[in-house]
Amino acid sequence: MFNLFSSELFRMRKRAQSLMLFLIAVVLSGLVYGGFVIATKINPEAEGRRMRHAVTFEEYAEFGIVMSVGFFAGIMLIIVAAGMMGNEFSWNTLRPLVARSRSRVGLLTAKLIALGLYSIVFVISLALVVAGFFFIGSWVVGEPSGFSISILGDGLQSALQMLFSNLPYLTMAFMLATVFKSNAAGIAGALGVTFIETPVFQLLGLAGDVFKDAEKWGIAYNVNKFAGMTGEVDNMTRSVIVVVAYSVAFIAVTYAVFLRRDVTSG
Amino acid sequence: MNTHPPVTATAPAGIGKRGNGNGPVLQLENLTKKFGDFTAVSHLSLLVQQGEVVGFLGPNGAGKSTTVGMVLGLIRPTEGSVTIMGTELPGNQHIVPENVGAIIENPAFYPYMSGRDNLVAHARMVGGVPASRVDDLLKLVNLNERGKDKYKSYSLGMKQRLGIASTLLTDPALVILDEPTNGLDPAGQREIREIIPRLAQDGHGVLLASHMLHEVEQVSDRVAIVRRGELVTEGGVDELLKRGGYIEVKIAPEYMDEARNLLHRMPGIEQVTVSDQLITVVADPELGADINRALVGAGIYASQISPRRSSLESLFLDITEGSTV
Repeated sequence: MFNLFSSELFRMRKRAQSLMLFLIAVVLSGLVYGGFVIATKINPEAEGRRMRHAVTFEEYAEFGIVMSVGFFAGIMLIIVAAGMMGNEFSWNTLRPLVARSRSRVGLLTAKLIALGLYSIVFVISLALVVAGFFFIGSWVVGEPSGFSISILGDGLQSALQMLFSNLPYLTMAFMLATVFKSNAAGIAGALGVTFIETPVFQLLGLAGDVFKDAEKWGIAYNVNKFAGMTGEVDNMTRSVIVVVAYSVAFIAVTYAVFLRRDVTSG
Repeated sequence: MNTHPPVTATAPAGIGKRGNGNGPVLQLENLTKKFGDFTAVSHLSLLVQQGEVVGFLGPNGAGKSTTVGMVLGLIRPTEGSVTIMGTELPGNQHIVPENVGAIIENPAFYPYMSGRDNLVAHARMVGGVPASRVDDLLKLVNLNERGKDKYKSYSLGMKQRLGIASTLLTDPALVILDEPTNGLDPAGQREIREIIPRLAQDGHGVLLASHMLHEVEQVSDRVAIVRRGELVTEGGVDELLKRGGYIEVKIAPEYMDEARNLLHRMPGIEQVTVSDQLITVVADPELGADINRALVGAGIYASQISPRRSSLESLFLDITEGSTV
């Protein structure tokens, strides 16, 4: 499996998209943060003062990580996760890939490990760049603060927690791309669930309490609870279990489908 | 003088799998694949020995690609077995990357990488392939000057040649080429046709699935013809061509009946037909001398005896009943 993993990393490294998506996440984070900084500079009133504090380095772990890793990195990593299998089908490279692999389990596992490693490097790198934004931004808005390893450490920890909260969506994208042999299916399915699960449950909640209870077993409810770190300890544990259970289930479906399927195309 | 380098002259130590046994490199026994009610391959048995090229012919939908898919472990057989270098699939998928190099239909590589990087990526998948092997193979298929260009910028011929290079990365015992000259211009086809026999000379067993009949005729030692998933004939190319051969005998009209009766009685002659001054005898074309001797013995002198060999194409069309290729 090490050989497959090595090849997977080599291909990711050679692919411009790997760096391009990171740069897009950096630019989008910079644009949003820059907008806040400019708004703070322009509006010196009460609203501006509250915003001024929000854009300082001290608030980096809260505001900065949620914005950059929670949102932009989440979207970019869904694209990467879906593409890891979906593109193999669209480029017709899956057949030679399977023929070259000693086992299909090893092939899928190598891809998942490569995805995990890339995701960790992606969010840590993004978190560090955004830390730089906030450090500079603090000076720009007139509330300079000294550099703090502690704040940076909190931010990196928060970034990894945010990545963990994105795990069900990444594994869902990977699963959908494998099951439907389509990059687009993985991206659209995972992003669709990301955006519509909460509104759908809220609408269904109007129809009865049973749906309100059902929402607590959904992905978004538990991800938000975990990502927001606001729940009680026992609730937090349950949320972690639910997030892990969804992720494991999606991965299990991926293995089951891929191991049994004849590779007649892609 | 042959100026071509041997295709595996620089095979690295430790990864070459050729020549480690006298048995077949590939053995299919009773291989069957059903997709629901449709039988794509039915009870197919076939051998590929080390150092031979076996042409695998059949019309579209005959089951060639499904068979190749089963050999590579991409498709699970419904029945029967695939044995590669003495080890049976499935359950031993590792023997495929160790012993088989294949182009499946069209070569497929990553479009965003160069040809060289694609080979490096494939080499990493199987492991143990030194970087020098990649450069040697690029040189072999005349891509050394374009190796650093993006794969997506390659012509179809260059893609096919890169595909052949990738099949040889591990110096495999069995090379499977599925339509290797598909879409190539005549020069490109000739280049590929020159490479294939050299693969066999170097000890690889080659399974060549193709609908280019003259190509198969030129480079194959044996041919297997499939139709609707079933093996309909198999044998050496010469043997098959003889099987479809015939002899034309030109005789004066007054001796026609006597000659026809004589030839009817001769052993080895399957059919005799008469038209104008020509008798057409369906038989091994090498029986021409025997026919001449028999006619002369009976006092009949032929003005012309012409052995005619069938082409693989006419044999193929006879066997497959004119199915579209």
